[in-house]
Amino acid sequence: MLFKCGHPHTDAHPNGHANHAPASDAGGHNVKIEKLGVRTVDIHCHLHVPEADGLVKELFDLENEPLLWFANDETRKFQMAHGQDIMPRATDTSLRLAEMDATGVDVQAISTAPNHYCYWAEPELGRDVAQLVNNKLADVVGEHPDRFVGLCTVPLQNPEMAVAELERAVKDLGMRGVEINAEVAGNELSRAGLDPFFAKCEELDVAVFIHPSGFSKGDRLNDHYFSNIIGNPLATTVAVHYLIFDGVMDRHPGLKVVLAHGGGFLGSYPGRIDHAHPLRADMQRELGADKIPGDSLNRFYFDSVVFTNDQLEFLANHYGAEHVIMGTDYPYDMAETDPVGHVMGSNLSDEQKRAILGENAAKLLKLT
Amino acid sequence: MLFTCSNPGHKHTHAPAADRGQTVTNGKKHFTVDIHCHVHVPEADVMLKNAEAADQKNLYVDTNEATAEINRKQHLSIIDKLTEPEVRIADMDAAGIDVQAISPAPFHYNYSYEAGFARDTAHVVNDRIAEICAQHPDRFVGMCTVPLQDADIAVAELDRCVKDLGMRGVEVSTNVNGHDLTRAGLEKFFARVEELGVMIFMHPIGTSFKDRMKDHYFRNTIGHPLESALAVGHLVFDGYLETYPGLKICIAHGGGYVPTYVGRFDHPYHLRDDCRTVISKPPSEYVKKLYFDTVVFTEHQLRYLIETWGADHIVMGTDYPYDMAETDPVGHVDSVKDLSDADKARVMGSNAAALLGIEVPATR
Repeated sequence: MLFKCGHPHTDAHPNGHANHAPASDAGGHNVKIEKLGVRTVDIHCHLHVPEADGLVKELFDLENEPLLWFANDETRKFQMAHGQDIMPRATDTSLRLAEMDATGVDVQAISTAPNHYCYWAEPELGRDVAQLVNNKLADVVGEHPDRFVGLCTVPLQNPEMAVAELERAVKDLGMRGVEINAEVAGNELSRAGLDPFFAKCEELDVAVFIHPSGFSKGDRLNDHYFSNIIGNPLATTVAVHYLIFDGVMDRHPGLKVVLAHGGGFLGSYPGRIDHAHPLRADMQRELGADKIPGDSLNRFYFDSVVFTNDQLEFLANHYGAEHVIMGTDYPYDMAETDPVGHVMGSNLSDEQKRAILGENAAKLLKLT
Repeated sequence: MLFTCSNPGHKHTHAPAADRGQTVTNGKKHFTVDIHCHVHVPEADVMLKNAEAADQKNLYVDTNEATAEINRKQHLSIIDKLTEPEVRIADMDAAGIDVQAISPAPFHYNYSYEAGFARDTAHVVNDRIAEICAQHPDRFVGMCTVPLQDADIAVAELDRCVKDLGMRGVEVSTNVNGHDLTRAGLEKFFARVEELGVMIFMHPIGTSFKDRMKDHYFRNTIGHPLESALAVGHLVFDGYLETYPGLKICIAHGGGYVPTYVGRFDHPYHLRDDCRTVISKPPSEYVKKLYFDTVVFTEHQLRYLIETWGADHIVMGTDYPYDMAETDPVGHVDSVKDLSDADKARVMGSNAAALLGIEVPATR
């Protein structure tokens, strides 16, 4: 059995934890998975490119990787072993396809493993890494165009190069979006000179998938894998706050941004900014008093990687099911292993489920 | 009209609460308690002026100048509400609050000062809170502050406040000079709190993750729910809620980020050794022992909290008298869709009454 829920999802859970059954173990093919006739799309899944690691091997510095830097020895050791464990699934397309079949995922929108961002590197090196990764993503998509679409990576440390690589990846390689980190080597997305990049994303009408890689100031996150389980949703939360309050969302009304992990903490905690903003001039410097931060937040898309029914239902009911998109975080241990079952097991209407399972992604990523 | 919903972004459209004793929903009167409201004691500020300077880096109030200025002005504009019980009572009456569980303004923690000095400021603050409660025993119960930078002194002041002053709980911050509560040598403090059976009200002030929080008041809007998440994370994963099973802890601002995002705590528990070094059950089994206040500003988030954790774990609060306060707490709870009258009564008052040892008036 390829896919077993790694944890007892089916435990009686007091908090409305997903009670979905694991996908069938019928060998991965011809599995009957109820998905309401929708072509299902996983918008959150990563591809590893070992050749890209080779380019930066000599320069690797733990300090550039908050997930590992703010982590105790046990976590670092675990991550090393985990990285090796999953490497076949992170690289081998046939394994990936078999698991997609087993879990009822028709299409993966593959994006780079976050360790390939390399925003800390010299721009030229960052660009070379991005090109190599993007070419590999395009290869995989080219081999199975009915099963994959690609989200590229770009060297955000240099806005001009980022724009150039985005154009190449979209126009020449057929990418449908771009995956970016929640910060640029410690700098905010809204303060790294990226307006031309965001404008280009609007112009090309491609999705921006924000996927964090730990939190850069996380000195209290060393234990219990907090660097990920708190650090990642926090990184997304801070990024979205800056995009809203520094006026990026306002300046780029056509920007379509998908947030990993259900939008981080902010996705499920939206009330505080709307309460504060009209009362405080210090929050209105870029986002004027006539604006409502929640209006900007409502424009984002949220993936379904939140593990509980309660939270998935909250996101779908609060933002509208048209703003929630199925994801997994394949192939990591923090992945939802039964994404279709999670959506199907939630207390949502069939119409909402169809939107989340695939219709929204098809529209956003222009699947034909 | 004292209380209006000043915020166009508010989704709940609750009517303002009626006068005291008239808090009526569906024809039923509910006893109401505000578990999250602050008292400022200017005498304690005066003491700070003569004190050895605190370690500024641990004050966690770093902001840009615009925020600092707004906060200074705000403090002056609400000083009567912060200090004068009569002004407070009028506001309570207007909002339909029967009892406030008053706690110190978080600026009185003074954890970064020398412990003996912080004990002296805590004395002054706690004595004043006790005085207000004694003057209006039917309208106020008190929570104290203790100098957490020294566990022995903290325990002594806690004992004094509970035994001599009749305090019902203790307000603590989410860290002690950047050290998490589970890593600040506070074992004997938590043991004593458990033994005394009083409640802990956990309320942050700014965040130690301050480098990226200076603008747009992020120090508060992100910093506060984040700090509570860090504190809850450590209380859970460091096993404190297992070691001290009798602790009654209420987390401000709807519990911060964790209660609406607990799936990511539970998911790795079965998969990763580094997520269960101390605890023996999934993290949410401990989170569900906590209590969360209602200060989340929207109907949908409050309903989500109630549906996830149960109406018996959600406690009405305001954050009075700051601008980050819910100005219509009763109306907010009343606005929650499909919430039964019995559950409204729990959230509005009887949960808090049980936690704080408040006698619900027999006439209700």
